Amino acid sequence: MVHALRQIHQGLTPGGILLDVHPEPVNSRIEVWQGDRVHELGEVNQDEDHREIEDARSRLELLIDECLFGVEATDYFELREHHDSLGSWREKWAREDYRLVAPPGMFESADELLSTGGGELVIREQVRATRLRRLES
Amino acid sequence: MSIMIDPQGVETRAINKLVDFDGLRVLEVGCGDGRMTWRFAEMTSSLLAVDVDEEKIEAARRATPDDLRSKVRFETTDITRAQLPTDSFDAAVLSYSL
Repeated sequence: MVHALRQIHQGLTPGGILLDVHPEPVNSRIEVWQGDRVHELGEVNQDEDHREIEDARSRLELLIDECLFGVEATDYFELREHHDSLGSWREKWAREDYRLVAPPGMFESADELLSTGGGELVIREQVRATRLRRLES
Repeated sequence: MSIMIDPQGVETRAINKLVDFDGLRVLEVGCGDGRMTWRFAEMTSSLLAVDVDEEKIEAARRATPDDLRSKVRFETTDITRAQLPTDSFDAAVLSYSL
């Protein structure tokens, strides 16, 4: 990844912008929304992904330390995924190769709520977006 | 089965608050199926979006709106091995791909 970041540095014009958007290393919260009612089902464990995020941040910080990029601004937001069924979420999970572990009973609770009362399964993920600027080393 | 990601537009507002893409030549790394590409593509002057996943790139190509086809290009590329042209982009976006 350091090579990729160096490639991007070289590909940018002097003073060019790098926008890095990636999840925060915190577990996503899972809820079922039925009208005004929100059923909190807890968090999924994403420890494996968190380690990767921390590693990637370290690599980017390496290039910041080398003065290839300078951080200008950071923002945090919550990205919400709305699924109409448990199957939809699990399908995306498999497709994207997520390495998350659901606590016991979460799937069953979600399935029961959605099949009896309808609504949406909502995944709440915390995300960080950072604007960096190419510096001349 | 259906899925909606960020129907509230929070992500779109956040990234466009950080970067004014108007008229920029942009490289997007890890574009996947183009989900985030559409948050800023319209404003750019040109956009090269790359990902290692051929299937996702194909999906992104199919999903490209007609009015963006002249300025958005999707390519299957492994950025860790690619040789990018020098000084060619005004901005680069790492889309959940760091």
